[in-house]
Amino acid sequence: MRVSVCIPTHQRARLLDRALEALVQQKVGPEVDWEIVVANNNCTDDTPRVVGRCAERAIVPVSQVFETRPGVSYARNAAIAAAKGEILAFVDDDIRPEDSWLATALDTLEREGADLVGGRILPEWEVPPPAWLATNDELYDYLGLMAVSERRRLTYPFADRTRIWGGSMIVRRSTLDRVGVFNVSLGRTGTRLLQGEESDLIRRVLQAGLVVVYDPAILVYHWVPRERMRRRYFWRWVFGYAEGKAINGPPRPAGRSLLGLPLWMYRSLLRQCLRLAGAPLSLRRQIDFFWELGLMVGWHKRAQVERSAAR
Amino acid sequence: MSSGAETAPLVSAIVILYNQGHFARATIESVLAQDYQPVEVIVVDDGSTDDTAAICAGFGDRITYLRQPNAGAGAARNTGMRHACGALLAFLDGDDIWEPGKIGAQVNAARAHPDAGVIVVDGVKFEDETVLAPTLYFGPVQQHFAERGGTEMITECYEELLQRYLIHSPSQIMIRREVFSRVGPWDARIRVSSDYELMLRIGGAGYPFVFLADALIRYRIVASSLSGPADLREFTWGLDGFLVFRAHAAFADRRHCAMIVERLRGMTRSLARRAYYHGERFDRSWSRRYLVRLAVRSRRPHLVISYLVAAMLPSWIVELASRVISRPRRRSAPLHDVRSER
Repeated sequence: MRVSVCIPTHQRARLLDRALEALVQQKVGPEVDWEIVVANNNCTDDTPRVVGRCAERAIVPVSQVFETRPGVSYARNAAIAAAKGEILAFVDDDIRPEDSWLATALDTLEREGADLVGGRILPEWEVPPPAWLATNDELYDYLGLMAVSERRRLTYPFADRTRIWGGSMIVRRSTLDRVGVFNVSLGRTGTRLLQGEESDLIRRVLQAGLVVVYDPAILVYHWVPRERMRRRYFWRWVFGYAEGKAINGPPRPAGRSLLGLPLWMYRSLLRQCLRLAGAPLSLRRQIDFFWELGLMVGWHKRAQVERSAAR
Repeated sequence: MSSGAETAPLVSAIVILYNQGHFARATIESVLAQDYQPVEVIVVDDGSTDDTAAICAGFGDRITYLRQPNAGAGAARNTGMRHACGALLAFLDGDDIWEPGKIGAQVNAARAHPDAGVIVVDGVKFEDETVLAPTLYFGPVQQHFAERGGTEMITECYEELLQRYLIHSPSQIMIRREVFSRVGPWDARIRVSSDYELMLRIGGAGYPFVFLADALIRYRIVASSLSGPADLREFTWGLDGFLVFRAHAAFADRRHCAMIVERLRGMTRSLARRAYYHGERFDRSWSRRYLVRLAVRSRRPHLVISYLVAAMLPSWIVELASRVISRPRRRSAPLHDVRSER
C-alpha cells in the first residue's frame, strides 16, 4: 500500500520541524510504503533546510514541492500532484500526530470501507488557555479543533458539529480523481482567514455517494499559539468563514435589494447589532455579529464580480 | 495491520536539568534503565552554566537533548513536551532518581484507570546513600495507605488540593497528554510551584488522581536547590503560593474562589507570624525584608503590618509591650501552609 503524507506550509519552519519530527516516528506496518511531501508555499524562512535535515535522518523519503500561488488549497493541490501514493494523508504544519495516527487511519479506511477519514484534533496550548476558552468546546471549531469522541459516518447536509479538517484528513486518490481536489478560491491565503475548503471537499465527496468516516482514535494535536486565545482571533475567523461562504455558496435568493444587497440582509445585520448592544461582552453575540458582517461583505464582493462578468 | 492501541504506548520521559551536572548522569541513567519500553528520553537543559551539556552529549542519540535560556522549571517542561511524541508524559527533576519499575507501574495504572488524569508514585527522601524518610506521601494520602493498606488509591481530590498540596515532587507524576489538551501546559510564570498550579487545574477539570503505594522514586535532599536554602524553603514556597492561587482563581468557580480567598488570608497570617518568629530567633533584617515582600505579594498588608512594626522596633520594647498587653491570644482555625509539610 502506497501512502503519501502531505503537509502544506507557509513561513513556519519551527512548527514544521516539530510536525516532521512526529511524523518520522509513526509506527506503521512493513506493508505500508510511505513518503512525506512538503508543499512549500512561498516560505522565505528556514523551511528548505528543515525539510533537508529531516530527509537526511528519516527512513522514509521526504520530498518538497514549491507552490508560489499563495493559499493553503494551492499548496495541498500541489502536494497531491507530486505525491506518489494511492492514499493521501493531509496534516498541517502546526499539527503533531500521535505515533499511531497513520496506522489507525489506514486501519479505519480499510475496515469501514471508507473513501475519506479524519479524526480528533486536540489542542496543544502554548500557554494555559483562559477559562472561557478551555471550558467551551463550541469554540474548538474556530481553532481547527475537533473533540467529538464517538465514531460517526458523516452525511450531507451535516447533521451535527462533527467535521473533518485538513489538519488530519486521509483520503483515497481515486476519490479525489472522482470529485476533484481542493477549491482554490477557498482556504487561508497569507493574512486572510478565508476558510471552508475542507467542508467544500467533503460536501462533494458525500454528494458523490462516497463514505466519509470520523474516528476519534485517529488523533493529532494542533498547536494553538497565544494569539489565538484572544477574542479578536475569533472575530476574524468567523468573518473570513462567512465571507468565503457568501462568495462560494449557493446563489442568493432574489428579492428586493438595496445597493446590490438584499433587504433582509440589512435587517439581520441590524438584529445582530441590537443583540450585541444588549451584551457587548458576550463572545457568542460578537461571533454572531461578525458572521452577518462577513456574509454581507462576501455577498457584496460576489455581486461586484457577477456584475463585471455580466458586462 | 497493527493498530497503535494494542501495542505498548510510548512514554515520554521529560528530564529537566539546571546546573545539576554532578547528578545528571545518575538521573538520566535511571530513565534509560526502566524495565518498561518504549520510553523516549527528552532532556531539557534550562540554561545550565556547568558541565551538564557535556554529560548529556555522552549519552549520544539515546536521549534527545534540548537547551533553552534559563526560564524556570515550568517553561523547561513545556519545551520538553513540545518535542514529546508519547501519549503518556512522565517528568523528572535533575537531582531525583527513578527506580527501574517506576514507568511500568504507572503505565499499568493508566491502563487500568483510563479516566485518571495523573498517576502518582511514592518515593523515599535520600542524601548520598542514606534514606532519610521512607515515604513522600503525607496528610490524607499517607493516612489512607497507613489505615487501609492496598496498593493504589484513586480519588477526585480537587477540594483537598485547594487546602494543601498532596504531591512532593514532579518526579512522582505521570500525566496523559490528552489532559494537557484540556487544561493547558505548565504555567511558566510560576517559577517554583508550577506543579501545584497544574495539579489544581487538572483536579479542577474533574480528573481523578491515582496514588500508587510503592516507593518508586528517590527524592534527593540537597542543602541548596531551586527553592533556596533548606531552612528558608517553606517561606519561598509560601510566597510562590500566592502566584499559584491567583493564577488558579481565573479557572475556579465562585464557591472555590471563596475557598481560595480564605486560604490566601490564612496563608498570609501564618507566614507573617512564622517569618516574624524565625527572624527573632535568627535574623531580624531577613524577617523585615521578607515581611515587606509578603505584604506586597499577598496584597493584604493589613495582616502583615503588625508583625512588620514589631520586627522593626527594638526587642526590649516588643518584650515590654507584649507583657503589658498579655491578653489570651485568639487563634484562627488551624491552617496548612503551602508545602509546610515538605
